[in-house]
Amino acid sequence: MSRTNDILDKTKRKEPEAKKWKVVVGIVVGLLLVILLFSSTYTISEPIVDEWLSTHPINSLFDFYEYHKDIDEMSVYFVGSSLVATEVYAPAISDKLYNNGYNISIYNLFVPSDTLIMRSIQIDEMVASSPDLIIFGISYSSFVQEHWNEEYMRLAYGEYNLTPELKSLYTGEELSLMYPGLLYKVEYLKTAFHEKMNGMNPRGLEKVIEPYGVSRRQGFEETKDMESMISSANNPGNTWRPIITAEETRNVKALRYMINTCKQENIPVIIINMPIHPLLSEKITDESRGNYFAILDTLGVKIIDMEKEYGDEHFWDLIHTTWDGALDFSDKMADLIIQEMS
Amino acid sequence: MLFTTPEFFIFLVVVILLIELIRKQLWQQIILLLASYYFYWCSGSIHILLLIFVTIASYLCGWRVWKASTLKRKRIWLVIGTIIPLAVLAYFKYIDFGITQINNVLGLFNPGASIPLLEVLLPVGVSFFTFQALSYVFDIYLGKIEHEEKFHRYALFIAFFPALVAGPIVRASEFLPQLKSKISITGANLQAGVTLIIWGLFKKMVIADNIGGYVDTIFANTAGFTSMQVIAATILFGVQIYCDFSGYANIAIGVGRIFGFKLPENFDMPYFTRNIQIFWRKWHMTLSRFIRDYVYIPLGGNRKGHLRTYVNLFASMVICGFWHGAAWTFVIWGAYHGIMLLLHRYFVGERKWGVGVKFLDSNPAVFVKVLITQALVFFGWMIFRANSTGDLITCIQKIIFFDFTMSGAMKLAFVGGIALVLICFVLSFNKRIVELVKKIIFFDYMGYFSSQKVQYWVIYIVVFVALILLLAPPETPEFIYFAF
Repeated sequence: MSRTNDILDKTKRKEPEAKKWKVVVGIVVGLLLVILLFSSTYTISEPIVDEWLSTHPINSLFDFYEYHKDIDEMSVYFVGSSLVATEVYAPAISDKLYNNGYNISIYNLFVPSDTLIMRSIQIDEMVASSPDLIIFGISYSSFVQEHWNEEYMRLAYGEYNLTPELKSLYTGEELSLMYPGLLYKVEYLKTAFHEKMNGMNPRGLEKVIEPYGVSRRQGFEETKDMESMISSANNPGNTWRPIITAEETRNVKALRYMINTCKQENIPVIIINMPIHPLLSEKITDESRGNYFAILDTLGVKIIDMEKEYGDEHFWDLIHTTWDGALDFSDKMADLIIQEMS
Repeated sequence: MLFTTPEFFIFLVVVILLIELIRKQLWQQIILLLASYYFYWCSGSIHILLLIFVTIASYLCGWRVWKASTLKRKRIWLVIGTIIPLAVLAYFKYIDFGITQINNVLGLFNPGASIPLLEVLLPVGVSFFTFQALSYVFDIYLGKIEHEEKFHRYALFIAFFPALVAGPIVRASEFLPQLKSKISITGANLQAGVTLIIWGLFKKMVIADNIGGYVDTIFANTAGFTSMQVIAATILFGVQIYCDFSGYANIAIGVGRIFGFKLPENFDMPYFTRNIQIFWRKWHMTLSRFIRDYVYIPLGGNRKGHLRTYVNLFASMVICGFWHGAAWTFVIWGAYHGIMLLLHRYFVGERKWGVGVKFLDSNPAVFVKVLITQALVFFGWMIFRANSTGDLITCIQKIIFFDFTMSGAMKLAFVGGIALVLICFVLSFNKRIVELVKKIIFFDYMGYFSSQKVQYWVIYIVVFVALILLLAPPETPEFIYFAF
């Protein structure tokens, strides 16, 4: 027998008398059974899945708000994105306050890649947890960032209340995507497990250590790439050097909504225009800067401009300070809080 | 359009339904051909023109070879029919590699001088369909087949979608005769085909894709990992590439089987082979036979003396390595296997070392031979997988200068692996256990499942599809051999 037939014959199987329609029915029944199996497994597993997902930082954040409702203490919340994460070192602020006779708990409630539009869903729970002062750390990009992390919205669904005013800030598609089906949650977990298996930092399955956010600052690696920074700063498409117009974007509306909610609950608010690298700062046009501060002035809260507070030596990239920069910033925050609380 | 996406299965169901509804042979073949072109267009867009060009050019050349009245004319058209597909392959696959090498040489004499790269996009499956086109022209010249009168059948042979993008490399003599009869989708073929498809999906999505992430992480930065991690990644890559490629082959053969076509197998338990020569008869079998029949034998095979045989063997394997991709690591891998085959031929084939020694045919000895062969094969996979020659050197250094740094889990795996090998070696002295193990390993599981009554076969579907849905990672990477 030729080699060709040898190879072809390897694919020969015993030929049963299976009728075509039986096989088709078998395939359909098999797939239906799989769907049934998964549907029932999914339904049974939902409480377990939710238990796992409660360890996601966004869920932990809502847990923190719930927990803090029952805590009788003076507290200050720092709210923002990774800028707040790297610049605010809560223990240093607490220590300085304590040494000056103030027993105030400091909480760094950062969310990576946070935007005002995403943060606004938390405001009701945030004010209900009775902080004594909320400090928002923002920058020019906060007014225009359309970064949308549907994970945060979906995984925290049910923990926030979408008032009609808030709903008006979202598109229909965004609203429809906020609801997390069980399938979404399971797929999310699969992704997280897969990332963990491959040595990547899995998204959101670590319980956040109290005081909130401190553990993130420790052990943070700082590697500076000057060439990359210059190139990035010169890139007109860099979202951290946006064009700010006088128009009120939905992020501005979200910020206004949050501040008004705080005012209704008599919670003072301070807005910090966070430090950015001089290379980036010089790229912000006068017109953009003018529009930005004009809008901030309409919010009716204290504005602290720290944009040009630090030089190159205090930054490890265009927007995040070094550890020394963070310590100095935290020291200034302590002074600010002392001033506010006096 | 990947085999692992819902779009492909919708496409497949539609094609099956159309073939079922249309009973005329000609229209069935036209539909399959159009479906194949649509499939390729989804995968490669504008490169479909290239596929059509290669099809027409090789068909015409094959016809001219067939029609040629003199040997000289046959040879002329053979040369043209060889040059065109090879030129296509060379341009799209190797032109930028060639320019890079030229720039490296130019840089020695005139730093700063360089020819800009063309950044040519590699057409999906170009290595496979060009080889199929070549085999058609070669087989006509060698008198193995006649020229196919009906162009659409030849076009379908080149473009048949299950095997189009990553093989198996089908011969015209295997496929064209199957087009002489009407396509009839039988229950037996449907059951066998679906069984193979599910098994292929399991191997690819559950085994290969879950391993791939770890392997990619290690090989992306071998310098940053320990010796043991590099070795572990190499072993896992060997498993990954086998499951990925053989999984694809299973799906391709299964899909072909649904339509009643028998496509050649590409793998036959290669990781249980006892020497390198047998390994290459069991790994990527359709490529091996192509290289044997159209490179090694025409170069003279083993008919021109010992030295020439070794040269032919080595050259064939270097070409095989180079076929896999435009990188020196592939060439080195091919050369590495060439040297191993050469050494095997010299010591075992000619010097007859160990031939006739009864002990070396005993089960424990065979077990040791398998271990040694696979150690050599897996070392070759490290060469194959390394991102660059620099990385390859780093990997080799990691093995030679073993750092003995291991995490707890790695220590456990290492000790466990050694223990398993020792246990298997001890057990290999017992003939009954060996026979039982052989039966288990070499049992025709696919034949078994696909011959079960439907009511029991459904259990196979439920179990394996459920495992695939549960264990497959969220995003399925492309098949490894798509890159070739």
